[in-house]
Amino acid sequence: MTAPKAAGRIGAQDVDRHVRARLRKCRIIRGMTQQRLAELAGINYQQEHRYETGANRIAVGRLYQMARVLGVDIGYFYEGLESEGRFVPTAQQRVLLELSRNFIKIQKQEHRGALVELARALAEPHDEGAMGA
Amino acid sequence: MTMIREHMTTTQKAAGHPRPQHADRYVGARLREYRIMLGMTQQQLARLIGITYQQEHKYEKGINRIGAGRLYQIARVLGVDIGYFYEGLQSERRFVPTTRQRMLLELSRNFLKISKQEHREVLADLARALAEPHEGAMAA
Repeated sequence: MTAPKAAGRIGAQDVDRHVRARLRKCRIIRGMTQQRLAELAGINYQQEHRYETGANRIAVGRLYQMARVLGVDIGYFYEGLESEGRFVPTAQQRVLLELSRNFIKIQKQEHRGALVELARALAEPHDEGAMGA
Repeated sequence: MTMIREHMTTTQKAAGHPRPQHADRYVGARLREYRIMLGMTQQQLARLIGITYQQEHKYEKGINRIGAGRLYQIARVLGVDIGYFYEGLQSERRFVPTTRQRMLLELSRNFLKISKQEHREVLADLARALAEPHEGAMAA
């Protein structure tokens, strides 16, 4: 039904269409009218109608609000979309990811500072002037 | 904690939930942070999604709102679940990432310039140790 762009690459519009179909479905399952959902979300009925028909695109903040009002996780709206072909980080990126995640968890400002200092000291200056000493 | 709130009144709605604009900005900031965590530039991410660098920049800064479909593409390209971008939104009243993000950016850039793998690992180990809650009873 949806026309994926290149092989396996799904376009943003295709996903938008999927999301609004899921939104509509969820609203109906909950037994809500467009009017009622609009009221709960604090928007007017026309706006809600435009979301469901695709006349207006739903931004992520609005979608969050809809999820809350309907009592579903944000992922609900995306269920059923293909999940293969996802990005797989390289070994180096995995280490960096773990490092970053832990870095964010560090409570003491001085400890974070020390880690940044150490990284700077270990970094090889192969492109000088890139970000100053 | 998502509850079914079918009988919520409009007055309850306003009580302490992030507004859509707030959520839009929050998602943009989370996106920025995760991109930096991967050591990716805005340019690289923009190319992967097929948008301009300026557009990507505007998403991260909250100048342009991210569409639901666009976020899906971004999540795929970065290899995370959609929910990742919303994590913490309910509890954190606002995303105050600037200092943390600036440090993270510097850490990430320098990390990518470290040529010795052992050195990169030492750094990761140290971060892990420092991130642990104070007990640290089962450090390897």
